[in-house]
Amino acid sequence: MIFEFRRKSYTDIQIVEAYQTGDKKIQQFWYDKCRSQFGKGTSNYGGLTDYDREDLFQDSFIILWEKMESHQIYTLDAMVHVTTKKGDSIIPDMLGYFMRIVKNKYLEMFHSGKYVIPINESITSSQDDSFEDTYWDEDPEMEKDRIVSQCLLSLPKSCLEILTKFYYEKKSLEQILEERPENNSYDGLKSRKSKCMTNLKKRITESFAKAGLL
Amino acid sequence: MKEEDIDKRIERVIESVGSKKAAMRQWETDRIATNEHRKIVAKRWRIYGISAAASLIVICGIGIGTLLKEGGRNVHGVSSPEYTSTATLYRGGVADLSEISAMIDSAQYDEALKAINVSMADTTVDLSFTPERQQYLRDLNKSRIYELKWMKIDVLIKSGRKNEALKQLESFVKEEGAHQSEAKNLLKSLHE
Repeated sequence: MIFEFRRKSYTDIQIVEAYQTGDKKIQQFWYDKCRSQFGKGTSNYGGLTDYDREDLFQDSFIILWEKMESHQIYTLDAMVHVTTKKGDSIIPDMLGYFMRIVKNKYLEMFHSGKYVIPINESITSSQDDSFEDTYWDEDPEMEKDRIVSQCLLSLPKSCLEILTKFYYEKKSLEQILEERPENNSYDGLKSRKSKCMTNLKKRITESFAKAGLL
Repeated sequence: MKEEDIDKRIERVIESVGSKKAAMRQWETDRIATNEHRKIVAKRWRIYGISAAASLIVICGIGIGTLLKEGGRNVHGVSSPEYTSTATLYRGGVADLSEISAMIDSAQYDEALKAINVSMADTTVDLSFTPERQQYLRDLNKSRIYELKWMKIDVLIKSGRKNEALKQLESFVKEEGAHQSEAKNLLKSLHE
């Protein structure tokens, strides 16, 4: 093809429905759009390495994806809605909503103290209090899943990688050892996996207790 | 809360998060490939445009020259400008190989090693794809990892970590591949 025609665009409603029905073409379109906006919208987010920035995008995108998949974000009367603790509200612009999730995640990193993020008054002073309950689901079972997901994503990357390879890719420890040269021995890897799971369960139990879900 | 319940919940969530990350990795690969392709097409069209403009100028010049002078002049041959295709051979993730290669060339060995290890760990294949596509992606991953292992040996040697390089090389030479012969020679020279 000599000329590249303008790529088809999709509405917010089509995007939400695509993540609920599994339409991969529209899902990919939305991913590209968020990726592009993320690059532009976080250019002044200091203190992050390229890997941190990648994690920030991935974690934020997964949060949004899960909210759409679990129907916490849903479509009604030709509009996109989201269920929050304060009741349902309309999302006028999905891209803007995504960027608010990103900003919230960035501020979490800032407040965690794990990152030396230079104080950027234009970001911290514009924190949106009404967005604090972004990560909440009224269904206790869905809320538990959401908490487990957040605890999982908060693990050190090596733990997340080992657990993903073991439980999602269904690889054996021997196969994982081949792919992870930094784990020097089978016993070392086995011990690491066990510690990761113990750490994860501890975080989950604490989070459940805090949320009154035990 | 039962231990079994939490284990099942963890497993379910890991599968969910894992499949999402796999899909996102594939989309990112496609996005990078599309952007690279667009750059190449744009570059080609710039070159075509310049060539067309140059040819037009030459032809006009010849035409004007012919008009101004009476016949019997030689027409200089106009050859198309040479250009070598800069098409990047896309082999599923080669964008990260070129970035790693650039790091090695600029002596950023620690960063290169980190990037190699991260890239080597990235072998997830979305299980929702067809078996044929999964196999295709696995084959791509295999050749990418082979290249990454060779790069790792290179980085270790260049950063003075010869013992580690030797250890990697001793297992690498057993693998069939494009670099096997070179690896054997390198192993021999390191032992000397």
